[in-house]
Amino acid sequence: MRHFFHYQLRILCLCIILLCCIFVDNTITAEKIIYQPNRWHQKGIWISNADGHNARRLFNPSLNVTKISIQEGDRYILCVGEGVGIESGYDAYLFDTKNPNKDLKDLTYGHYSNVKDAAISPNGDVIFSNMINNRFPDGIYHIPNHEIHKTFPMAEKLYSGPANYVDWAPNGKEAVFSNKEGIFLLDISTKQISQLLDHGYRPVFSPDGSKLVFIVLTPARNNRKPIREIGMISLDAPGKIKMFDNTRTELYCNYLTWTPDGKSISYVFAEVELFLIWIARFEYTNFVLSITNGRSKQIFQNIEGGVPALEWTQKSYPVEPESKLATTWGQLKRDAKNGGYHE
Amino acid sequence: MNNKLRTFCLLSIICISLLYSSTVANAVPTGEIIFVHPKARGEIWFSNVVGSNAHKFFRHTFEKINKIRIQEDGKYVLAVVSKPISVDENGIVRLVMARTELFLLDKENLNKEAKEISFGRFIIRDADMSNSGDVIILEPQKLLLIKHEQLVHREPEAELLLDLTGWNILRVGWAPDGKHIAFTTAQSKELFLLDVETKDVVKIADNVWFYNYAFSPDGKQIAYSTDIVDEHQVWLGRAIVVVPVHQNADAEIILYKENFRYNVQSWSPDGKYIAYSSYIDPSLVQDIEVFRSTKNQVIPATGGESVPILFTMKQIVDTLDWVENTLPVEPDNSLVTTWAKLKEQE
Repeated sequence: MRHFFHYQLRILCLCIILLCCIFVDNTITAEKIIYQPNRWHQKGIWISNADGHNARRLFNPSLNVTKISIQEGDRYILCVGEGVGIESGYDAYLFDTKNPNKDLKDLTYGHYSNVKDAAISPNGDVIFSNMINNRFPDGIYHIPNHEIHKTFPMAEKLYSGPANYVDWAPNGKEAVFSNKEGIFLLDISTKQISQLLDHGYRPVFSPDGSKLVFIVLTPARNNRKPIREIGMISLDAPGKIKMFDNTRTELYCNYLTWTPDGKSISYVFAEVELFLIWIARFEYTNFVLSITNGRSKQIFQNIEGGVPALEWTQKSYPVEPESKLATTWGQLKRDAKNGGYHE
Repeated sequence: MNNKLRTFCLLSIICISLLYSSTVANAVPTGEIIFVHPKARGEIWFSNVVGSNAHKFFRHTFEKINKIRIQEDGKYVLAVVSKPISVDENGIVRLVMARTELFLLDKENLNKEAKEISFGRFIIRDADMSNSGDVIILEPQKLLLIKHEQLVHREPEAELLLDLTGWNILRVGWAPDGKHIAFTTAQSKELFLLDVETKDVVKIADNVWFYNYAFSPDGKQIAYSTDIVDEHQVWLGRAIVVVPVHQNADAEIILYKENFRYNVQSWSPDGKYIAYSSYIDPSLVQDIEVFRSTKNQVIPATGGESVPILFTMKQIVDTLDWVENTLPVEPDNSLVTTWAKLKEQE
């Protein structure tokens, strides 16, 4: 009898250990930045601490990602990127962290030529800027949150004209965008635009929506290279620009995003390096800038080649699928009926 | 009286419902499309018309597929494939040229390797398969026929169907009846119809863009692409034309827009739509409307508004065939598959 209980206890312990293993495997804790590494052997979207430690791949899209935007609450990760392999073109994609086993959802399917930039609002609305063949201006489109799950989400054009970079205001009612004429505010419901600045590009709202940071380009003159530096305005007083002098650089300033506490900005410098004598490639250096004291600190020093695109997050993401693992052929067949309409 | 009125009302409602439902059902093109992937040009893909379930269809991957034809009454899919030939000269392998070969795929067994039927025996310009499985092979001077009974053999034998000395033919295609063959000439750009039994040839149309034509499912009409030029012979665009299949019939332009090149691909199985690909010089693509009017579309066979198809393909699909029957998707001995396996197959 005693022997029987020992045996049962052993089985119970084994079950508990197995369960623990599942839970340990299911979540990643304490990571803070989602990014795409620069090296080909590390393709995919990764997550790690700010120092680059504890890095692991979150998902592996067939994309060269140029922009990452994370929904408040961290459910959806929006990526803009160029397809690789049998994919092609620049499109906007959505990754649902609740269904990590599901493929990345293509929101635009090459129907907008070249998606330049995109952002997701706290309630899941997506906004994106588009150019035709990367040469001709098109405008800004809005995909409401109720459309993002549809097979082919419908997008409404909010603005016709040149637009490069876009970002949502945290209130989800306004967006900001930039073009050669400067930085503009766009009211989503009225589609009215108002100019904030006559210069600057890549505007990004602070998490509380009170400030905007952007990059200012001083064109090349007198044999000097163009200069880029980061500026900030408060939306209460848009005429008062604060420039962060220690971000002045002759390098490309490629990326800008706020930390979740709204106290710092991440930015990326890029320079072209010759690889294998004749192949040029970008090398990135990542920094965090405190907006209170204006000091910069380098991050991701341990990541070879740096990180071209990143976004901060406070969530731990599951790595195991929550959705079912199998589908029936019958289901696939049913999907094939009616030419795919009425789905 | 009341009963009669009630019955009449009921019947009216049923009739209206039936009419309405048939209208709704016919409002969109249906069926299934198999196509050569526009980027992975050695892969055959399958999809509904919209493209929402597009996925790799056959496991076999070729080097480059020029044309596919589905045998509607049988199990075969014919693939006309470019196969690079390399030679070994003193230990150095060199790619000399591409040779065109013919392969049969079994749509009832998607995992089965493709069966080669040409084995370098022919100089193939084009080939086509009839609904009953007869294969015609166009050589520079000859039109050959492999009868469907031969397809079970390892090296199916071909017989001479027509001596083409003096002709310069680039494309051949079976009529749905399996008794006639259409072909187009390169220089004169004419479309002819050959009676396989009598060998009689009649001219159907002039000014045919020789690569693109397709029979309607009932075989009574042919859709083809034609170049439109002005009085100074300056090219204006390439239109889609439909012509009845008999001599001296009047052709009707159903789609033309300046600067666009429309290439006819296939009729819908119900004969109501024509699938085509639309191209324009990239320098003229300057707004979203023009951008979207390129790609793959369908137009009602009588003309009208075009509808985009194969939404999920980011590049234009050049080669496709459109069928009515649901192609079998389940492999032998397996009712369930894992998503991982589907992914692997893709």
